[in-house]
This record gives sequence, C-alpha cells and structure tokens, in this order.
Amino acid sequence: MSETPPPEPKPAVQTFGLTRSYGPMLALDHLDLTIQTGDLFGFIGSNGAGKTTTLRILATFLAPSAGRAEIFGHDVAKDGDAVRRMIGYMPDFFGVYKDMEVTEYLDFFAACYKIPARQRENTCADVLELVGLTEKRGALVGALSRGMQQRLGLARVLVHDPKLLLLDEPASGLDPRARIEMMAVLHELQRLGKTIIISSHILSELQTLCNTVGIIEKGKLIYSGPVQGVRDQMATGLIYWVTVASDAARAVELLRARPEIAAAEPVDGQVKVTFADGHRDASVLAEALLAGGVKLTGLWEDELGLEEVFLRVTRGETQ
Amino acid sequence: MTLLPIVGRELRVAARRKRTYWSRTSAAAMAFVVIGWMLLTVSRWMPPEMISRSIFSTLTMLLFVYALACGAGATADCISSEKREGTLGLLFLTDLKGYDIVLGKLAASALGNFYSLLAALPVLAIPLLLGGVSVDELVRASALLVNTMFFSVAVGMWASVRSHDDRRAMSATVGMIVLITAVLPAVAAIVGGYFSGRSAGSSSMNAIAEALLLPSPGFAMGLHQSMQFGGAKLGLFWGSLATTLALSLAFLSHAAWQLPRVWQDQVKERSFGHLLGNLIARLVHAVWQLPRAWQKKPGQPASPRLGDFMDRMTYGNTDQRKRLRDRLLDENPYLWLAARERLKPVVIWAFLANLALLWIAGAVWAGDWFFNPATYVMTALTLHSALKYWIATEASRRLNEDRRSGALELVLSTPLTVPEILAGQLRALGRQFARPVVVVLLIDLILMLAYRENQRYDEEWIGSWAAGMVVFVADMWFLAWFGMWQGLKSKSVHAATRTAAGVILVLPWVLYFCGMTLAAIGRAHINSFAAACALWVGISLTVGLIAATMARNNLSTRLRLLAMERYQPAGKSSWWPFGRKRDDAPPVIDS
Repeated sequence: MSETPPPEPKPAVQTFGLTRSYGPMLALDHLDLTIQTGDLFGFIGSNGAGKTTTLRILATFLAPSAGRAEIFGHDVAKDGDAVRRMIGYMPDFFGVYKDMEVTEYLDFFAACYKIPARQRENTCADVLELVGLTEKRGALVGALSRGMQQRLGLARVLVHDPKLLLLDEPASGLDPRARIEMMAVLHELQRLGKTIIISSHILSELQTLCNTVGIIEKGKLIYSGPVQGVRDQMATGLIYWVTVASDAARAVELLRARPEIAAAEPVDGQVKVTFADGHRDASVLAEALLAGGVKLTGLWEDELGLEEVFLRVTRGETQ
Repeated sequence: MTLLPIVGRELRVAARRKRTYWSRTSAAAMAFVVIGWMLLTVSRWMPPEMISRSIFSTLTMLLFVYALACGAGATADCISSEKREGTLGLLFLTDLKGYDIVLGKLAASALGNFYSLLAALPVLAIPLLLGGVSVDELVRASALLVNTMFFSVAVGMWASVRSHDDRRAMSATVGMIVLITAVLPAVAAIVGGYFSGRSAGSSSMNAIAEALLLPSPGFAMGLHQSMQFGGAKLGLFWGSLATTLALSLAFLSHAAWQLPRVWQDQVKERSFGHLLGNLIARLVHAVWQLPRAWQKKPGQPASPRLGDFMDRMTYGNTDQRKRLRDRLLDENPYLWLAARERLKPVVIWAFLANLALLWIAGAVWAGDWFFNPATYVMTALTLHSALKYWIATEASRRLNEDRRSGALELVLSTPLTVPEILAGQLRALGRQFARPVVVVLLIDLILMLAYRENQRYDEEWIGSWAAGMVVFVADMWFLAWFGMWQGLKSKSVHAATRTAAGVILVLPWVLYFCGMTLAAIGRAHINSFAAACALWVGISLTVGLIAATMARNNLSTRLRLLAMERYQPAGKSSWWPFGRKRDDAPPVIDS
C-alpha cells in the first residue's frame, strides 16, 4: 500500500494579481508574490512604490481592487477575522496611548486578541522580556524613548503569538543603537520560527537580516527571491578593483585594450575595472598586466550590495 | 520690511477663500430671517414702535451671544493645536515676533466671524426705518458687539497661548469669558446690592461693585438694553466699553509677550483655570497626604509628587487600575479604554453639585422671589444644555483622538470588531452619563411639580416639561451616536462637537421657527400650545432619529475606511454632516 505524501505546506503569503487603485492612481499593479513560512522577507521600494499598500492589504485594512491575497491559505478579503489572529501588524507610524502604563497597554491589546485574563499577565511579561522592556513595565508609554516605543510596538504585535509579522519601517527614526537592538530582536523572532515581512529603507541592514527580498516599483514586483539571487541576476558589468606596484596609468591603458573589459579608470591610486557583459573571468586582468610588465599587487571583486542592486533595478520614478 | 507679515498673508488667504463670502452672506441672511420671522409672528399684536424695539433688542442679543461664543469657537485652540502638532517652533526659527504670530493667528481664526458680524450689522439698522430706534442706539449696539467679539477672541487667544491641551484651552476660554461677563456682575450685585434695589450699600461697596462691573460685556449689554427702554447711563456704558477694550488689549499683549516663552513643551501652563485647579488639587493632595506623611518611616520613598497624585486621582492606584482592567477588559476592551478615566463621571457630579450650590445661594440671597417659573425653566435649560453639549464632546473625543494619533488602526488590526468598538464606546458613555441623566430628570420632575397656579397644575406647564424631558433623553441618545460619527470624520473634537450640537440641538429649532413662519404666512396659525409643543417635539425627534440612524449606518460601514484616512488621497472635504460614500476607493475589509 503506497503511503500518501504529506500535503505541501501552504506559503505564509501568496498574492495573485493583487491590484489596488486610488481613483486614477494605480498603487499596486498585478502583484504576484510568494513568501514561504519561516522567511525573513525584506520588502524594498521607493516611497510610493506600493509597499505600504501591500502590507495594509495583507493586514486586512484595505480590500484589493482586483486579485486576491492569502495568508496561510486564508483569503484576506473573505476571512479577515482568521487572518487578523495570525498576523501581527506594525505600521510605519503608529499612535500610542501615552497615558497608559506599559503593562496596561499590552494588557489592553492582549484583551483585544481575546486572550483570557489568566494568561494575559504571563504573556505580557514574556513579550516584554523578549523585547527587553521588563524594567519599564510600570512606566508610562509616553515617557518611553522613541526606540523603546518601537520595541513596545513590537511587543504589542507579539502578544497573541502570531505566525506572520508585517513590519512597516520598524527601524525608521531610531538611533543606531536602537536599530541594532531592533534587528537583534527580529533575528531572535526568526529563530523562533516566525515569518517576517519587513519593509525598510535601510538596505544595508536588510542585506544582512533577510534571507529573501522583494523589490517593487510603481506597484509592480521587479524581483522576488533570495538575496544572493538578486545579486547574481543583477551582476551585469561585474566590477573588480586592482592595485599595481608602479604606474597606474599604464595599467589603465593595458586593461582598456582588452575586449573583455568595458571600462578601466584610476580611482584614488587604484584601478576600477568593469567587465563587459557576459565576461567574468578575472584571470584576464592578471594576464594583461603581466604581459605589459606591470606588477599586480592586489585584485578583488566589488561585491554588489543591496543598495547598488536597488539602484540598478529601479529608476526612482515613484520617489 | 513688511509690517505684520502673517496678518497680511492671512488676509490675502481669507480673501481667496469661498467660505469668507459664504459665512458673510449666511450671517446677513440669518439676521434677515430673524427679522422676517418676528415681523410675521409678533406684528399682529404689537404697535410698530414696539415691534421695531423688539426686533432690535432680540437681534442685538443674538449677535451678542454669537460674539461671546467666537472666542471658544475661533481662537481657543488656534495656538495650542500648533503646539500639539509641533509646528509652532518652526515659526520661531524665523525672525517673527510673538505679536506677529498672535495677530496673524487672530486674523486667520477670527476674520470670518468678524466679517459675519459686520454683515449682520446693516440688518440691525432695519428697525431704524420702522421707527422707535435711534441712530445713537444703533451706533452703541454696533460698538458693543464689535467690542464684545474682540474681547472674546482675545480671551481665546490668551487661553490658547497658555494651553497645550484643547480641553484646557477651551475650558480656560469659556471660564474666563463667563467669569468676566456673568460672574463679576453677579458678585457685584451681591456686594453692592447694585441691581437688587434693596439697599444702596456704602459708597465704597458701590465703588467695588462698579469696578467689578465695568470690564463685563454683560454689564454693557445690560446697560444698552436698559437705555433702549429709557435708562440714562451713557457715561457708564462707554466707560464699560473702554474698560473691556483695555482688558482685551491686555489679554492680547500678554499672549504676545508670553508666546515666545511658552511654545516649548516644558513650560508650565498657568492659565486661570490651571491655577485654580492646581490650588484645589494641592489642597486635596495635602489633606490626602497628611495622615501618610506625618511620620517618616524607614525605607519610605520620597513623598509622592502632585503629578502622581493627579494620575492616581484620574486612573486610580495600581490595584484599582488592575481591578478595573480585570473587570472591563474581558467584557469589552474598548469599554475599558473609553471608561478608564475615573474622574470623568466625578467631574459631572462636581458640576451638578456646583450648580446646586449656586441654586441654594441664589435662593438664600433672593428669598421667595427666586422660586418662580422662570428660575425653574432656566435651571432645567442649563442642566439639559450642559449635559447635551458634554455628551457630544465625550462621544466624539475618543474616536477622534485615536484616529488622529493612529491608535485606532492598531485596534482595528486586532480581531476586535467594529460593533464591539461602538458598543464599548456607548457603554462607556452610559457609565459616565446615565446616572446624572436620571438625577436631572428627577430635578425636572421636582421643578415641574414645584409650581402650581391657584393650587392647580397647569396643563401647558406640565406638557412643556414632559416634552422637554422626552427630548432631553432622546437628544442624549442621538448625540451619542452622531457625536461618535462626527468624531471619526472631523478634523478636531471641537469641530465634531459643533457639528453634532448644530444638527441635533440647533437644526430642530431652525426648522421649528421656519415651520411656524410658514404657518403664519399661510394664515394657518398654530394657536394651540399643545400643537406648537407637539410640532417642536416631532421635529426634534425626527431630526435626531434621522441623524442618529445615518450616523449608526456610517459608523458600521465606514469606520475602517475613515480610521486610515491618511492613506487615502485627499478628497474634497464635505460640508454635509451625514457623510458621503467615497467612490474612488474600493471598500475596506469588514469581516
């Protein structure tokens, strides 16, 4: 008797031709996106590209104009209540009840999620510990610093132990220390098995934090997949840096003569070499320089950062 | 360098605004309507001279009330709102001085009201054509009204500069206007027996009484009305006007001087209301602390601060807070959110207790004369109006503040449903107002039964009280729903309260007067009191029911959409208070 294979786990998020317009303005244009369970997904785009609209549709705030979105198999438009129980949504700008104590604040939201009174106290203590605010449990929310309020916001979205976190610019306006602490908390949450979608403008941090990214411009998804994948895909015109022992100008001249190299230019005593499309064999550099009698002292690849990738794939039309 | 650059800019902006012209036209039209209504209704049993005087007197009184209300409506929150939004500091990064900003804001906020008053003044001259009113009287009335409006907006500006919170600004404005306009003359009347005519009192007491009277626009109004009917205190009238003007300039100067010093948050607010409140709070705090502080116990922390004390008074101590949470959060989290300020119901009781004290003081001072139908009616009107306005403010406050701060969308991202939110808010209002409403109804009942003519209860008297009580209870319910809706869609709590009060409280009266006027024009006089009363109740209940039903429907279907208004492209703002479906965006998810 053949054993039936276990069913495929449903993706955490799946959108099918998701479209949203505000009057004549198309904010989302047939967005097809899939995010697997356990992913830490970085959502990247210029201002007005459609990131917040996407997150708000997933958070059941907005209904799509066309298409649909599913969270763990539940349609966000038809099964809003079930979806709200599975997600924790943190908007880019959120109001806090400044005259509440930290514990009261969390207790209130825990009650909104229908957590029984018996469990609420422990739950609040746990999430406060997770975000490092245990010491501040009796403080007024209005008296907390911006960074602490952001962490409290994160604690709020965790009170009902959601499977998916939707975080819209969670690190905006934070100082470097608070940002690093926030990223550490997000790492910990990923380790605990949460699926996290994070929209941010601080791409250098997303680069190290996320395992998958999506790039959106003018409501259209340009890329979605692993961070390394986007680097590879965008690695047209590979860049190398070269240092030579003697005459840099001579080295530039020699390198420009090779058909594999699109450009070579001296920059601060080094030579920046850009390969022509389709060429990535670095040995031609050493070969050209040695043949011309120039001693090569250093050679390394300029790794394409997420910021560079972003600039290459978008044109900033939605800024 | 341009003199008063912000004033110039605001005047240019106002000149381009349609509202400036509409409000002017509306004010003149309203004044014409009042005159027309009076001509149609009272002209049958009054000689022309008396008609003219009545019209002049009524119109002056209405415009006087309007002028007094401008401070609270126009300027009370103009600076404090900028403080809350953090935009005031930006103005001080430029070369602007305090007086530039104060006068600019004054022009921006009160210009429309001033134009409206100016548009109504020529209508006030119509009685001149009918005879019985002199040019001097018209000049005096015009000066009095303009002066009163200037006083009112100056007080509003002064209170706004000293406040951060809109409630504080509004209460300081109303408190100061009432104090100078009504309380000072009342004190003067008691001190000097000025109006009573019982005993002249000593000359020094009369001087004190006069000093208390002179700054009051209410006193000037009283003099104006008495002169109209044969009194002769011209010097005192102009003296009062000059004193009020000087006081208004003092308020504005103080505001301009203080503004550069108080725009930062850390500066303590010391408005009159704040000082008085602070004094009372400190006294209560001292009484509370005395048994706890007489002996220093080992390891005891420093004595609690006044701020902690006020927090404790407002929200209770840690145990009380937790008990309230445990009780209400499981029932309805939004109920706890809206009802957790324990002081809110207490303030209503304190208001009722103060009125009771005033009533008793009046009864003791005036003796038997006090117990008459006019006093009973005024007492009931004051109680009803205050509670109605109060519930309109409270109904709109929570949703308005939460929507503007963005906290409402956090609540909506939880499984808490829209009906649960509305039910929680309504129950919170019930906790705050239900018992005071019952007490006011009992007071109504007592006052109704207190007056008998020839040992018999008059049917019209009983009928009008019953109508008032029915409309009072119904209006409280209507205002709760309509106030919530307005709170959700309006820019500020004040705007929401104004619209709610305008639709539920003022509109029925306007329709009633229109109905009576049309009946008079059509020669179908409603002579029976019962019919007139039934018409008023019918109109009030119909208007309220329509407004509350529409508000309820809109709240149920559009709360989510309006809660995240900042994400929608700016649409045309609607003057229509019942709301309009936004057709450029698909609906939000309601399930």
